[in-house]
Amino acid sequence: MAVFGITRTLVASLACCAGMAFAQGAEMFGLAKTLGGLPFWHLQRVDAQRAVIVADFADAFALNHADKIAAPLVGAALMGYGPKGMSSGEFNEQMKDVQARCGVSANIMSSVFSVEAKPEDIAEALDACFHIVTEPALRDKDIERLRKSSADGRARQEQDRGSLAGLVMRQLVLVNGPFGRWSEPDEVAKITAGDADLWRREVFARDNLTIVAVGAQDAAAFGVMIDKNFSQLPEKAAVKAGVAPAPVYPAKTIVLEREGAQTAIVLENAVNIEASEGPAVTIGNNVLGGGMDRRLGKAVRGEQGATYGIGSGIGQAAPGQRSFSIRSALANDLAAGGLKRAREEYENWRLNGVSEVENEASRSLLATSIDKGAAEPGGKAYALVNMLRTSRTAEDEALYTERMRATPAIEVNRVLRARMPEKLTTVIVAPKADGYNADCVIRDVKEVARCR
Amino acid sequence: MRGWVISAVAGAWAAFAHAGFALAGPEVKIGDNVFLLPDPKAKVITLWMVVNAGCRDEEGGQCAGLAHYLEHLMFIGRDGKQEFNTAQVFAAGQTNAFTSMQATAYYQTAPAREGQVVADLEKLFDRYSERLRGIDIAEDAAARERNVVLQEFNFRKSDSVRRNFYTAMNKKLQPDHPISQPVIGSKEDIAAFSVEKAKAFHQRWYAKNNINFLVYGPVGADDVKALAAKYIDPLPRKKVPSRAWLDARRSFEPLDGLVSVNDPEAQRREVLLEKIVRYEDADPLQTGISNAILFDYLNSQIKGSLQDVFVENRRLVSQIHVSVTPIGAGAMWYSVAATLEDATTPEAMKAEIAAYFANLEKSGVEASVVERLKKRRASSNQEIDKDPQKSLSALQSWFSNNSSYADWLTRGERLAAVTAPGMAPVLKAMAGPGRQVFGVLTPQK
Repeated sequence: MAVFGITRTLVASLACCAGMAFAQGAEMFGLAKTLGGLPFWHLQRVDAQRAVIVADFADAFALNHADKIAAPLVGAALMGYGPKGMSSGEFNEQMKDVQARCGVSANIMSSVFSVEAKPEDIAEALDACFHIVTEPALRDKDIERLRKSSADGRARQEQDRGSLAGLVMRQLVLVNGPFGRWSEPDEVAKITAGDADLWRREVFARDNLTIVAVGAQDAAAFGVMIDKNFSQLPEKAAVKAGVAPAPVYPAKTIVLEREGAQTAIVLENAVNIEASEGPAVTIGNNVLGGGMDRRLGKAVRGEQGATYGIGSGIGQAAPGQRSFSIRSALANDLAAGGLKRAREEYENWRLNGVSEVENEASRSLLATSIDKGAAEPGGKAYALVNMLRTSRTAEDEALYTERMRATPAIEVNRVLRARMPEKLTTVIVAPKADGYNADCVIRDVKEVARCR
Repeated sequence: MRGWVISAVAGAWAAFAHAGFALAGPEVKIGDNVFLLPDPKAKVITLWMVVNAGCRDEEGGQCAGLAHYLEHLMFIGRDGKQEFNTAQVFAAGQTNAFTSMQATAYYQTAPAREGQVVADLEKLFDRYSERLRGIDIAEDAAARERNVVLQEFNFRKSDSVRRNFYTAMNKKLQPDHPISQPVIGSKEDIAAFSVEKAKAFHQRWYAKNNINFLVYGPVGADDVKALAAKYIDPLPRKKVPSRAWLDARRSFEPLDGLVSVNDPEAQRREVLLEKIVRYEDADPLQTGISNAILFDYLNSQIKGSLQDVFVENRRLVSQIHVSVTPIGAGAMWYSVAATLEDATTPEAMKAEIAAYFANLEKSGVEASVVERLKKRRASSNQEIDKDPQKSLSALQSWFSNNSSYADWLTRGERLAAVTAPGMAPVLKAMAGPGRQVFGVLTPQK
C-alpha cells in the first residue's frame, strides 16, 4: 500500500506532462493543455503506426428535448455523410486516400467524434474531418435515407428472435425517459435537419468534452492541431445535464409468442458496482458466460447441444446504470431445459462464486485481451474515454489490467454475492408460451406495457 | 456469388482483395508450410492451421456440410474424459475455426507468458498434430454436435426464403458444381451427418502437405523450427486428390435466367445479377490483382462508380454492391446486388446494369483512378508489412483462399504492373454475353 501511495504521488506531480510508464510497464496518460487553454489527455508512442484523437461530448440532449429524442442518433449518422461543400462520396474517398477514418457516434451518455490516420496525416485528417462537426451537410436526401434505413432496421429486428427479445427487454425496463424508444422509426422520422443542427449546436462545445490523443507526436504537436479545430466550437454547451430515469426490472417472465426455428432468451437485471469492483465483476462474468468453454457454454451447448451460442455480459442499461444479462438462441424443443440450466448456473455462480482455477484462467484471458486492445492507439484512447465517462481516472485505466491480474477468487466471490441480483427479469421469444410459467404473454412488442 | 460462406470468399482474386500487397513482410518461412510472424511485443501466442480443403471437396462433389461438421468435431473428442471442447489447450486462451468452400481454418491463442512461450507453443503444436493423426468421437458427443450445427443453421436463418433464393440462383447458374451449394448443408444433410464420413474427409484431406501453419508471438525461428521438426515433420504426407473435376463440371453455356420470389422478411425490392463470363487469360495471377483494383473502383464512391451513378446521381437504388468469385483461370463469376428505390422496376435496373458495363467497356477506367487505387493498396501493404499482427491476418486470409506463398511474394510487383488498359479484356467480357441469372426479391406483405 505504501508503494502504491508513493506511485500515486509521483503520478500527480507529473500529470501536467506527457503520459508516463509505470514500473510494470503500464502506460498512463498525462493531462496536457493546448496553448489556447483546452485540456486534453495525451499518450505518446513514438513508434505508433497510427494516431488517433477521440473527443467525448457529454450529451443529455435526448433528456432535455422530449419531442426530439432521436436527434443525437440522426445527427451523428448525418455527420457521417460529410461536410458542406462536397459530396458524401468525395469526402469518404478523400479519407480513404490517406487511410484515415473518422466519424461521430451517439450513445446514451455522450456523443463521440474520432479521427484516426497515419502519424504524418493526422493533422490533415483532423482538419478535413472536423468539418463534419462544424458544418455538416445535413442533406434532406440523407435524412430520407436514414428514415428508410431506420424503418428497415426495425423491421429486421422483429424478424430476428434474439434482437426481438432484446427490444422487448429494453422497452419493458426503460419505462420512463427517452432511451427505450429513441431509435424507434417514428421518433427518427420526426427529426429534421434543423433538429440535427440544434443538437450539434447545443452539445458540441468546449466545456463539455474530454479529448484524448494517442500517437507518435508529442503533446505540443497534438495541441496545435487540437487548438486549430476545437477552438471553432462555442465555449459553453447549451444542453444542461440531465437525470436519466433508472430502468425498472419487474421480477417476471415475459413470453412473446412468435413462430420460428429457435427460442431466444434474455435474462437481465440492474447491477450497482463500485468502480473498484470492476475487475472482479468482469472476471466473474467471464467465468460464467465468456465463451463455449465457460460454465453456461458447457452446460447448455456442451451437455445439452441446445444452442450454438450462449453468453453473459455487463452493459449500460441507462446513463449511470449498469445491467447484467444472459442471452441465447436455443432449439425450440430444448429451450425449457436450456433456460433451466442457465438459471441454475447463474444461481450457483452468484452464491458460490468461482474457483481459483477458473479465476486464474479468466483474469489472465481478460487482462491479455485488454492489453492487446490497448496496444492499438484507438483501443488505448477508448479505454481512457470509457474510464473517464464513468468517473474513473487515468490511473484506473493504466492500472486496470494489473489490478485484474491481482484479483483473487475470494474478492470476485465477495462482489458476486454482494452485487449480483437475486432475480433476473426474463424475456423469451418462443413459438408458444407453454412450459415457461410466464407471468405475461404477448404477441407484439407494442403490448409490452401491460407486462410491467 | 450469393452463397454460403461461413467464412471468407473464394479464390486468389478475393485473396488479393483481402490481403493487401505487402512487398516484404515480417514473416519467416520455417519449412514448406510453416511460417512464423515474430513479434517481440506480442501479448499472445497464436497457432493457425489452415487446411486446404473445404466444402467443395466433399464426396461426390456435393457440398453437404460435412467439412463444416468435421470442423466442429475437431473441437471435441475422446481425451480420457470425453469433455466438450477438449481441443482448447489453455483455459486462458481462445480458440475458433471457420469453414468455407475451399478451406477449413483453426486457430488457438494463449497469453504470451514470460519464460513459457516456447513450452506453451509446444502444447499447441502437440494438440494440433494429435488431431491431425485422427479423431475419435463418442456417438453421443457426435449427436450433440449435430444438434449444435442445426442450431447454427437456425441461428443463421439458413432456411429462410432469402437464403433459399440465393441457393436457387446459384444452382441455376452452376447446377452441377458444389460452389453453388451452402457450406453448412441443408437440414436433411445435417440430420444425415455421420462420424465415419467426417473421418473419411479427415483422412483424405487433413495431410501436413495440404496444410499451412502460421505461428505468431514473441518467439524465434529456431524454436519454431524445432517444434515443427518434432510435431509436424513426423506426420505422414498423403497424396492429395486432384481437383480437376471442378473444371469439368463448370457450366458456361449461354443463359439468361430469372428467379423471382416473394419474401416475407424483405423490406424493399432487391435485385441480384449473377453472371459468369470468360476471357483470354495469359496470367491469372496478374488478372486477379487487376480485378481487385477494378472491383475497388466499382464499389467505391469515386465518379463513375456504381454507387456514384446509381445511388448518388440517378437515385435508382439506395444501395448497390458488386462482388466477384473466381471460378478458374479465364473465367469470372460476378454479382451485382442492389436495393431498388420505389420508382425503379427490376426490368429497368437489369437494363441499366447492362448499359453500365457496356459504357464502362467503351470508356475504360480512367488511368488516374487506377493509379489512385493502386496507391491506396500500396499504402495499406506498407502498414501490413510493419505490423506482424496485420501480416498474420493477411497471410491467413491468403492461405484460406488456396493461394500459394510463392504468389504472396509477388503481390507488390504485380500491383505496380496493373494498368487501366490491362483491364480491357475483363471489361469486355463483363459487358458481353455470358451465363447469367437475374433474381428479384419482392417484399411479401
